[in-house]
Amino acid sequence: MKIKIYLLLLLISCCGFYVAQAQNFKVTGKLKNSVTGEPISGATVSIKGTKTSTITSPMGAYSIDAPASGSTLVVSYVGMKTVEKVIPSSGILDFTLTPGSSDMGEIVVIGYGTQAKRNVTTAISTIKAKTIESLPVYSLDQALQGTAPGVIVAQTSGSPGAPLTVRVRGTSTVGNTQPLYIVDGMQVPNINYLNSFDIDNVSVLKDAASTAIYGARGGNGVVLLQTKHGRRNMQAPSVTFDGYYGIQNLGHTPDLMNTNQYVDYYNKYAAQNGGTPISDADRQKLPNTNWFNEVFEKNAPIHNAILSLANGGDKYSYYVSGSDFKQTGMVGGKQGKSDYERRNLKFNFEFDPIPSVNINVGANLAQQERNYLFENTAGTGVALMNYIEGLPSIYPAFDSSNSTIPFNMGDLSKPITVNGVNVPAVGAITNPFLSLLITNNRTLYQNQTYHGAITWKPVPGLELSTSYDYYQELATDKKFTPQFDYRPAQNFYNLNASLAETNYTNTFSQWEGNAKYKFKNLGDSKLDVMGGFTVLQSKGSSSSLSGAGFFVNDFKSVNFALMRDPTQIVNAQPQAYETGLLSFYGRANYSYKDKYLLAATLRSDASSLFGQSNRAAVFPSVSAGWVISEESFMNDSKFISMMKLRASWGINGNNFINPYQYSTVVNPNSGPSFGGLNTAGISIPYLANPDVKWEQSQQTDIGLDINLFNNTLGFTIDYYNKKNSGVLIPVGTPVYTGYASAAANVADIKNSGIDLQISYQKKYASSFSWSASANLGYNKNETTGLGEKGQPIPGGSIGFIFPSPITNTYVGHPVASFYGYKVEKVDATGSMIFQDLNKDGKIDNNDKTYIGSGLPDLTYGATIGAEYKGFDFSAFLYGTSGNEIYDATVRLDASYSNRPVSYQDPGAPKNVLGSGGTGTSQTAVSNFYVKDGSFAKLKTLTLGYSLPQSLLSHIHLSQMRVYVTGQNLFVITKYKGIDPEIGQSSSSNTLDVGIDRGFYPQPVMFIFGLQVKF
Amino acid sequence: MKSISFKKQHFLLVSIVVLCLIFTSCNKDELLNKSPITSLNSTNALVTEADYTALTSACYDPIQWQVINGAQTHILPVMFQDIRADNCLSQWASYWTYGAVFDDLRLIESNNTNIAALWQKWFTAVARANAAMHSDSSFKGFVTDGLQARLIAEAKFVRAFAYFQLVISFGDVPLITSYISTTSTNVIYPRTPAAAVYAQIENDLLAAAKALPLSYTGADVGRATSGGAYALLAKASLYQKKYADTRKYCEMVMSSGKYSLMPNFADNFSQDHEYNSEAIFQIGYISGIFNKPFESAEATQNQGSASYQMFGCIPAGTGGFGNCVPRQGLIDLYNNTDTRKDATFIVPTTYLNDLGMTAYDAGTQYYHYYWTNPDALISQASVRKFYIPKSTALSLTNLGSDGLNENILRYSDVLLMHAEASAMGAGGDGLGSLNEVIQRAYGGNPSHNLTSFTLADVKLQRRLELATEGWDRFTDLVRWGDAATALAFKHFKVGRDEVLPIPQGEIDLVGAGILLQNPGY
Repeated sequence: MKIKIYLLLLLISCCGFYVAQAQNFKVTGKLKNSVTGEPISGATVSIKGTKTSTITSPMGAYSIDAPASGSTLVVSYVGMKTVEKVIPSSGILDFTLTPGSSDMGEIVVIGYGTQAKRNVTTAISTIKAKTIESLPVYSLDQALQGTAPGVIVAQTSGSPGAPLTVRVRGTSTVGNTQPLYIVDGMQVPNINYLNSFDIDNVSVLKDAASTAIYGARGGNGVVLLQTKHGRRNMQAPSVTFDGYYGIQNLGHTPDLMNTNQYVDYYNKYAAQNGGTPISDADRQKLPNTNWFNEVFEKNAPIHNAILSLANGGDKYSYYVSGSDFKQTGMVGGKQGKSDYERRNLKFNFEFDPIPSVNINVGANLAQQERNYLFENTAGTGVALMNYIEGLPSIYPAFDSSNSTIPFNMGDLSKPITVNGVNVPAVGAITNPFLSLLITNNRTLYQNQTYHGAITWKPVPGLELSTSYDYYQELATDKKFTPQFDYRPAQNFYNLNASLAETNYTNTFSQWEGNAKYKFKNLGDSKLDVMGGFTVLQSKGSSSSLSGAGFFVNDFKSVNFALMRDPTQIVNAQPQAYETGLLSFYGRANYSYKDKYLLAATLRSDASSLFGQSNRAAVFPSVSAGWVISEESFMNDSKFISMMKLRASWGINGNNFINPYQYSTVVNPNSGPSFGGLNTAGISIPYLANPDVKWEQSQQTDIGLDINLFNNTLGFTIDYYNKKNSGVLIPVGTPVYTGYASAAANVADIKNSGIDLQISYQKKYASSFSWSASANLGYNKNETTGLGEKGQPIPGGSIGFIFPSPITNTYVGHPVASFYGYKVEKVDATGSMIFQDLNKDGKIDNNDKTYIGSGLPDLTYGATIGAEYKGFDFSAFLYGTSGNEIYDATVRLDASYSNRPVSYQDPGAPKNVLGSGGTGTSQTAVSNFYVKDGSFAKLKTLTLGYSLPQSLLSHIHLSQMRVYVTGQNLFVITKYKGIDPEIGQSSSSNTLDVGIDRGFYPQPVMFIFGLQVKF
Repeated sequence: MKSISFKKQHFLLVSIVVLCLIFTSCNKDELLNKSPITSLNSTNALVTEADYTALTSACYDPIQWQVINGAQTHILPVMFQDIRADNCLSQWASYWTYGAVFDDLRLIESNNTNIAALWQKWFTAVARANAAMHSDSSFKGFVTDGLQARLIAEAKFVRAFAYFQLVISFGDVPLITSYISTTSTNVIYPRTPAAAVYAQIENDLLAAAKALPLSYTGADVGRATSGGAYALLAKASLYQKKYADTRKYCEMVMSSGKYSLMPNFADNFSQDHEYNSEAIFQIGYISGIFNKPFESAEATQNQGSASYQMFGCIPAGTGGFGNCVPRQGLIDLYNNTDTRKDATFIVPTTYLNDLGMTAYDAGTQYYHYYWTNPDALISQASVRKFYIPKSTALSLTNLGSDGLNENILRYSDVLLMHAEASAMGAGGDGLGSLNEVIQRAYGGNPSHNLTSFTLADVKLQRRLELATEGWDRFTDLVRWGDAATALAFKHFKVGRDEVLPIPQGEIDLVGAGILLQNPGY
């Protein structure tokens, strides 16, 4: 690749210009706490305007090489006010730090750069390493849940390694809603491969002014992640071990009928429909199987172990870490059917070959293995979670004579008897242990990222840099159904084992260059500018093999070389794509007297996803801030430390759409068969839309930051109004043309809301300190237009139970609203009587209406923490409000399937146990199934203890902490299902949100952890 | 700039030069003009005559579709004819809401997704035929003699067949005979009167009949033939009550010398006798792992059939659904010595001499919990024309993808059409044709042959002969004017239920004033 070679040349050329730097001047001193008088260890001491920094020793001492006396030292420490002092000629400089928020001295990572938090005029939420480390999360997006207002993170499931749904400021499209992930400047498709411990900080760019610098990719919000690196001038290498071990158990279970209740319900049905009731004597012989207890395993283990090494000298620093995380599932975990393991190795090295040049190289290698079950599906044979809720307790789990053979309660070839009692056969659903037997799914991911960058500061204020990044994910998915025959004991068999293996590759390569310049000597004004370019290419491909009949019959050893007849291997049609993006961007930040702030960005993107006429576009933004607290009339305010008003506006795009929509594509997969042979067939699947372009997102944001009482109380509020237009929806092509509708940019979606964050921290002389923070995101989502010919977009189907789609996206309501009838009453026969909304005397489609939404109005997180003499305590609560759940767990289509206890109550729907509800009011989508999904969960509760310094110095450790954390300890909700925390059925299906088909709940977890620093 | 040393300036210069070099080396066109890799665009896909053959073969593909969009829709023909009429019922309403709608005609509504899928299936065939005709006509590179004319004729046959299905299902439909290439084309069409649609069907079929061969060999067997075109012409004429034309086209088929009845009726439904002498037009299905499983989203190409799993199999361990239960009233119409009875039904007394099967493996009272619909409990029967031997079923990788071809036009159908035209006054030896069908039904024994016949005899034989095959019963009743009486028990409403509703989504899209809904919906 040409770019790589040139990069190498550049690297060599700059090494060639290595020049020795001038002599240094040693500064030493001590830091202490102004309240307690104790030394402060671990504080950062840096020379202002340079990268040179060091960390204080356990006794609070530091030593640093400064260019000369007269330069300034900056000292910062979490929870203390940042202090700056000029270095005296003596070279000895002590500091006394006072508690208080250091927030405003904080540096915030923004697109293509950093900015002092005090000067930020856009809406950005940040999360620091300390917060991430305190949450036992396997995936970094989990750490965004409840920690960044306006970011909604829903776990699609609690199963190990399940993907998450992340949305920044609401659902702004019916397509891909995932934000853009940028890790150390590089776009990546997801962040599952990252070890969360390696993350130094996260910035979530929420408003258009912060995301517009990412142009056509920024419309869904941007999540910027910076990984850890070493620090300069460390006195000794820092070795850290962080590990935990935990156990997971099932929490809440839904209130389903037990054997006694079910038999009552069954007998009632039999009495009404002429069946044979189960006698009281027979009832006593039936088991009372609790399917949850049968299937869910106890104390499923989870562990994480991380070892890292960091060091830095005068001209270099490095960071190396390795980790191993493994979570075993509560269902099938012991058989290895459900677990997730990730191993990481990360390395970063930066050095200055000459004083003005810095070279930074790094790599991150990860291997992830996920064994998974099918869930939140009503699919045939494998929808295990659905079956657990659907099976009556009158059946045993296993054959009476052989406890390894699942009992077949759906066998229609003979009468079903349990302990001599004739019982009905269950339709459509099957024994979850059979599902476990036939389900063997494993995906193995190998991720590699490589990073190289050169930064050069030829003159003070000017910074030139170029970087090359490469991301690759190779994934292999293997699915196996073994051969088995349980006849005659139970009528379950599969005489032909089958295997399918799919390989995916996904690569991104990115080359960037940019220049930054900070103007000097502008008097009261400050101005810095930045400009650059990006060349991004991505490639993806997939191919798969499948076959049946193998010499071996276990998941581990089965492979295509062991197929009985290798000529029968089927090689599926491979898929591949390529895209390219060429961009130029620029930004200017201006401030006057640090009081009036102004920033503007501009980006131009040209993307291969679009046709010639719509290939390139320009995305602008402006933002302004007014630091009111700097005004003379506020200067002497005793309680306001900082107050800033912000406003921003900008436009960006969403190009997460399918490629090639602008041209006529021929599909080679449309053959019939003739003469007993498959015949090739090619057809045109959809009409080309040469005008297809990116979706546009325009957003206005007004924000206020206030810090009170010496920065101990912080308050940030933002109002936003985000309008997405040109959202791609299929439109305008009648089916009678014979083509699938082409996508056109016609729909409009609006999101408006408020993000609020409050934090408070207080330290006392007694060494007691406490802090509390809360954040809240309110979002109102509305489909405001579908264009002239746009059709409402149905979604969320469970064809087996409900013939109509469950969600609908149409004007005036949120995306993917639940859409159906409103129940007026349940009549004496148990039929639901629906409201005749249009008063035309009949109930039909025109009476369907909005009956709820799976999207929350409000999401919130609250943290409370306290520390006292080495003990620390923290609690984290997360909740949502205003969202509904469509409860589709009752398998109406499956005759004799179980029901919730509430189906016996007066006013419950008609007992249709044996006939299924088809054609009755029960299988119409109605608000009967719409339940309040609001919840508040105690996500974590942690108690820790750190050994005192006096003890640590004896054992040559600089830090040691032990802790215990409980996760998901309680949940407050009205929802009676297994878990109210339910997202999309799959991370790619935006229109299927909040529908409960039976899924893997979040475990209740206890973990024991140890953190040691050498 | 005074603080910059000479070396630093040098470095700056070199860096800028290097950056410029990199930048210019990056080819902007290469970056931004990306062609599809694993799909083709229309300019590079169609190069050789094999490509044009593939384009034409794709016209037939929709005919085999049983689902569109995975499990979300079912469009098995038997739903729209035998279940919708008086031959069968869907029974497992709880498993299969899609079929249950056709058990009670009042439940058919304009938002029915399966009816929308049926509409899509046939219009997809029309569009593919239009695209194939357009491309085949303009391609100059055919090397095989006559191939170009044949491919165009095949596309015409498929277009006519699709329009015939559309016109008998929906009545007036938009008539599109040209190739639509981009979204900028006008795609707003009103409904064309049925008579004009029939005229187009006849034009296409007459042209096709002249250009198509009598038969094929090898891997082309199953493509449209001139006999197929004449047989379909006969049927299209029959639906228009043009009996003289029906007789004429039937006799074209009868005199072609290519077709004869299979001596054993049951052989028409056996995998051992596919593309037999009686088969005029079949859907080719192939089993095995080469094919996409039924109800998967991709199950619209090179597929097997799900009919065995859906209808033809009693759940004797092989996991069938029994979704199409013949009504007792139909079964009772057959004489016990009529070989068609045993070949059409599996009833509680049927003995399937098959791999390890007992009498129980057919429908018996042992399936006490199985029969949920009172009407199904009466017959406790299953359809046999989609039945494959259990030994074959067990060897399938996917039970929903079996390899049994399905008949669309059989020679006996032509003989019965001939008899009907004759009964309606078109002349010809209608009695001979009718007796040929009856005699074969009794294994060649002429004792049940008729000496004279009426339309009622033809109607009965049509029902007995073609029951459960999925192409005739409902629309036969409608064209005979018998539907109101025969289907009164299913709440047939005259003036409404003769045709299906136009899918509501289409009307919403095109405009209710342009695409008119059928009355009563």
